[in-house]
Amino acid sequence: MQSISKKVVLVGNFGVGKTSLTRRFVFQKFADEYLTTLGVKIDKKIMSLPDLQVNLIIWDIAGEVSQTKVPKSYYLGANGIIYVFDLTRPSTFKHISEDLDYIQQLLPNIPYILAGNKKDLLSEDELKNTISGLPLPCEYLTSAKTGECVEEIFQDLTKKMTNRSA
Amino acid sequence: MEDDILRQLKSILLEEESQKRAVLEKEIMALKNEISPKQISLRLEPMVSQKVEEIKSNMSALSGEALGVAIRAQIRNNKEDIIDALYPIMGNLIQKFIQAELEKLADNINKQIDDTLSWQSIKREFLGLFGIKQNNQLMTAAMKPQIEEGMVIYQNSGLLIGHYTSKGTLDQDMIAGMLTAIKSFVEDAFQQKGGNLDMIQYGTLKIIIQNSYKYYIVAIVSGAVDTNYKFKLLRYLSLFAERHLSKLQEENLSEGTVSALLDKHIKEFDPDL
Repeated sequence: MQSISKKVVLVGNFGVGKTSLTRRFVFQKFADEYLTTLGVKIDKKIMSLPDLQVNLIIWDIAGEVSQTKVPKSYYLGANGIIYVFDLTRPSTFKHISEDLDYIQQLLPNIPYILAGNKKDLLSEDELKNTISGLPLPCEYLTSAKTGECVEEIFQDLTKKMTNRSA
Repeated sequence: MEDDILRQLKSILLEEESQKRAVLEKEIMALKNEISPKQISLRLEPMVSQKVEEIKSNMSALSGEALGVAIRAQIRNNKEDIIDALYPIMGNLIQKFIQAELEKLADNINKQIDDTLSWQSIKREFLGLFGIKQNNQLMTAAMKPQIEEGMVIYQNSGLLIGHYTSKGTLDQDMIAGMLTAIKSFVEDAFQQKGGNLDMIQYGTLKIIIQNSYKYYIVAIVSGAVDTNYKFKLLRYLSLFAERHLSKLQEENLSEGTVSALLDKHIKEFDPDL
């Protein structure tokens, strides 16, 4: 089976759960301390599609209030983006549009996925209210704690990056 | 009749002893009572409590700074004892490390000496004629640099497009990503015009980096790497890049093909591999 590698960048504010989502999804080799020293940590996960094996090289970038503060070189050559925000903290999704505009300037035409994390902390009603107040429609509501939709976001992104229909 | 007379005679003669025996029995019973566990515990408890209180008050007098001073004084005055106590732990570790390193060196030297009829041996003899000692030659050969890993990586994404390994222990995809992150971090932080990270040193390993086109080539080398070796290797990697990487996109080479080419070139550079 043919094998290809794709770079996935995980972005979002501080404390939204990017590292927890990655930890749910991959077997980690590098310690999380790299995030505080280098501002990035690399993980790997092999995804198998029917006709293709995809090595996802996941760049888990340390959270910043604005994405403009992340070193541009960390975005370079990315094949896909997962933008993570915290459903319980409006400050983490207030600037989604500006952040995505900035990322799309750096990386035009690459697929991205919006993931609202920490779903497990909200009741049904709270969740409805939060979703109605989001600046952009969000495809995935995830929980790194329960594992809900974690695998699905990576699968969907892999299909988008390899032009396989979702 | 005779029995009665004898009994009366016995009681008259042993009267005093019988009284003494009765007194003794009484005393023994009293003693037995006194040394019963219940009685002992009643008597000892207040004494033990008093001793514990005495120890407690002495300990608090020695606590804090006083205890620190006492320990420091103990260390200062009994260095030899402390070394004796620590040596079995520390000494063994150091000894094991030195032993392992010496064994490695000895193995390398023995291998070369065993090879007495080889071209290398003749070369050593020949160089010996010009005053270059065989010992020095053997030491240099034993510490000869060796390429452990080689990688061809995209500059931008950090994705691996080809690799060589002598051991196969590392996950090279992740190493390639982290190396790219470190390289980007250093280059972003210092922003020197035309500056590129070209070497990282870690323990006995040197990570030599040759930047080229859209890619960079990494060689992880063990042993004694001098400037001569480093520049020779960098030139060789640059040649590899010119020959193959410049045409990579047009020829659409797969990761397997690039790995095979890298393997071939590294073995050409170091035929001992």
